[in-house]
Amino acid sequence: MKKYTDIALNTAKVLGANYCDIRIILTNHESIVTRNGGIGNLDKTESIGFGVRVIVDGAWGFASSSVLSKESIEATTKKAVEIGKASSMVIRKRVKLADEPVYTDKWTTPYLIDPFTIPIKDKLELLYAADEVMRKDNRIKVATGNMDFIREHQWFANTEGSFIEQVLLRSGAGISATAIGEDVQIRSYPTSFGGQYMTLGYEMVESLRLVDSAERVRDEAIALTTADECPPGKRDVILGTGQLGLQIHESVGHATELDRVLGMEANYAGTSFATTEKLHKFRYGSEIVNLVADSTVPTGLATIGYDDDGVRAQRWHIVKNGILNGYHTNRELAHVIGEERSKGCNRADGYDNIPIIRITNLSLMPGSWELDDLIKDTKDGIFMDTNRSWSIDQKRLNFQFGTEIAWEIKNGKKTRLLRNANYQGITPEFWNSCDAICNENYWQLIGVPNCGKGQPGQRAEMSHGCAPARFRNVTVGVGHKGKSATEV
Amino acid sequence: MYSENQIKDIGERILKLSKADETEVLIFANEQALSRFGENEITQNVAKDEIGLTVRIHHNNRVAKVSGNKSDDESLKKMLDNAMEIASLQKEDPNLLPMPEKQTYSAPVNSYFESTAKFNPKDRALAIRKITEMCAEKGLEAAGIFSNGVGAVCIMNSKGVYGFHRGTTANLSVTAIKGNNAGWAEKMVKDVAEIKAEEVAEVAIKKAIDGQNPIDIEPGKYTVILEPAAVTDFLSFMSYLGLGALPYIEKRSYFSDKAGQRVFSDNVTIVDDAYDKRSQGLPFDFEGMPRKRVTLIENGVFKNVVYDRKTAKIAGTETTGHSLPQPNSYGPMPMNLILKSGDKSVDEMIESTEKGLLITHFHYTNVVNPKEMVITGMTRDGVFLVENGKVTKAVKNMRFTESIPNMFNNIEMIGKETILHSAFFGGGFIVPGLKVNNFTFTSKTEF
Repeated sequence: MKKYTDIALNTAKVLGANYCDIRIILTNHESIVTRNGGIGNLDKTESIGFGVRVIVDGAWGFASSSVLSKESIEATTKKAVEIGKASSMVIRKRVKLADEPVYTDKWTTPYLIDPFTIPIKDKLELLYAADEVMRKDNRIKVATGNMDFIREHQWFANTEGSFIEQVLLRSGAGISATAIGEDVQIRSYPTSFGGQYMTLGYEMVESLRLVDSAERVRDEAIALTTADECPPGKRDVILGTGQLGLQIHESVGHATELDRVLGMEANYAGTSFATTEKLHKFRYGSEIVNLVADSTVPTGLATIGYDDDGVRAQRWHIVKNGILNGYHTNRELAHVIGEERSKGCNRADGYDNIPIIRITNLSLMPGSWELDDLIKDTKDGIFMDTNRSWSIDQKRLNFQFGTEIAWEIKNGKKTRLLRNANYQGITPEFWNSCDAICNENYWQLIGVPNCGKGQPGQRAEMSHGCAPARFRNVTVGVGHKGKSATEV
Repeated sequence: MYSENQIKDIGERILKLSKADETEVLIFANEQALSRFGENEITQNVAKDEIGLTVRIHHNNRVAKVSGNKSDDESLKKMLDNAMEIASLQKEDPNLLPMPEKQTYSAPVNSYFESTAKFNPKDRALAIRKITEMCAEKGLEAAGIFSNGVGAVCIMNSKGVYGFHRGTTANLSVTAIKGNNAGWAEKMVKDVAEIKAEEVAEVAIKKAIDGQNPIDIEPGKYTVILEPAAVTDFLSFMSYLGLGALPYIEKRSYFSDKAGQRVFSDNVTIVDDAYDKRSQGLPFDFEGMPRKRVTLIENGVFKNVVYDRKTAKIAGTETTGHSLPQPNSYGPMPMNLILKSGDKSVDEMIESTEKGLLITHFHYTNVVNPKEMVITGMTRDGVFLVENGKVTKAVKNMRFTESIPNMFNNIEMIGKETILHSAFFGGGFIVPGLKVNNFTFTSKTEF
């Protein structure tokens, strides 16, 4: 590929660019969805293309093409330079990149079994087996199963001399059952919206034991249709990992992307309350709240060797002992907070998008509680798990999240099942109400394969590690018209 | 940009190379560009030129689908071999519908404008420079996008289906910011010549200035004047939660078992119409069937949902031409919804309001309860208190949690001006503003 990357770098230099990088990406994607014993979708995709990014006259230009040839690379690079020159008509400051060593490297996510070598027949048989178990009860009207395997083979080169080859393999799988009775209720495993995703191979799918979990998924979906509605009020809430991961993502991850903090996402995804003057001062959460960004953690969806700026993966605190301690940064913006080096968070969706700052793997560090002890210690609470709905304001303050399943906790015991549970809060108040986190035995990474940001819209993936945690005096049961607690 | 002949040639080569019983080719070609600005300067500026091929085969009563973006014969042969292998590894599907025969499509509305296709980075930069200067003059920061592009879609199959459609879209979206508060305006069109950048910027700037020093009010039920952009969230979520045949048949839709019943205020009529001159105008669906004009809600009465061939067969009816690419697990979906406009201007809605809120648009709306169609979201970029027929103060943002049927059952007035708003799968909705009573806000935020 070096012959191709050299064409872009040399063309850009000739045309007067001060900086150029090119990413060539070959993507293989296999997507399988089963639905009620048949095929919901089955698609094998192979695509290739490249994106060229330049800095010319102090401004960015970017162009991409799906035709990988000398002529196409030259023409696309020329287009990127023209776009950069147009950008330079409306800039207030010239782009300056933070220094980064030059790398020549090859990096691959580790895995045991290449999922693309497993016959589709075997994958379908596994999903059909889970489907059959879920539909043994005719109250389950929709049973789905899915698997996704994505291999991105990337070649990155820039005019500073780096040439980096990476192979990122991501696998995902899950099942869900929709029961229709008095209400329509969905239950998923291992998490919602497609299940669990990791940078692993087919061994991850095998470890999920989808068929063994299908009966529980089925029975919980059916039970939820006649369960009591989550009563409105103020309650202590224990969030399971299937919800807490999303809470971290929305209320800490996005809030600490430096581009949106600085207003570059103001027209679409929004800005952030966590502004730069708060760095190292603002109490984001209680003292036990430690949130660590880590692009090196094994099996994380954002685990990479290098980001799309060519910056090596790192680990750092976003929140340390409850205090805002850092941001997600890139080479362009690191200097704004006085940092000499990027944290390596610039990632693009495929070859045809420009890299933007994305949340990396961001995790809540474990505490010391056993889950049973935490429940015993809770007098009047609700245990909620598995995300169903999410919404948060454009500064990442007011959020409202719903979960697939919940149980009431009364005097230290998990009691009745609750449906349509949700909770609402203001980000710093909520994280400051965190008074207990379970220990490392309960800690797991939850994959988010579909994080949207940017214009044009870009998808990225990342994981959030956490163990169940308790939050005090939270508003629950928002907007529900069903029975209240006093009517049960 | 790929020409129709180039795209057709790729499709014909695939059909010729295929050994399957039936073969369908769906091709999307796009040339898109977007300049993004923030803090009164261009921050990103991008362009893409690409093609995507999806081949679906039916062979021995089995289905397979493969996709790619390489169009040389060797790559196409590899795709087809993969498809045959995938098909061979499946069990027979006794319910597999044969692909449709050759279809005839009505003449589409004009969707392609050379002015939009030729709009270049310098044209966008000049408009953005004007916007940023206007904002800077008032002490505001501008953020937004100016995009333009051409998209083509082609469907062909081995039984004679051939459909090709090309359209252009341009979008200018401006957020003017001062401190914690912002104003927003947007113009999405097929012909970029209709975009007057200064006019869009003026609306955003006025909202930002008027939006300073917002007051705190308590959540609860309010009369609201929803500008068209705020109404789009309600139509978008209804389109996929309730108006497709699959959730309807499976009784997951709010409208299941409600045919012929009054479900909304009697001033509400909603149709799906690809042939309205304001629409994006794709005259066929993604299995090659002609799109029909469908009345979904008429004077508040629920009439129909949209169908593809598969759901039509289950329901014992005919397809309305609303298939997504097959096979899929979503079912058919309306892509060209039109909420029938009324005769009131936003000013008239304000003048008629004793106490209420004027809402610019919503942020991050999402589903709380899919069957009841309860959704939640935040106001943003301009919320104003209306008292005794006048806008009096700016208000801090609040969260609504409201059911779509409740909203459509409390409509007092419908606006006469409409906007085109992008919808799923390249569709577009035509949406007026609304005056709605008893609209529920459930919490507030700090700005």
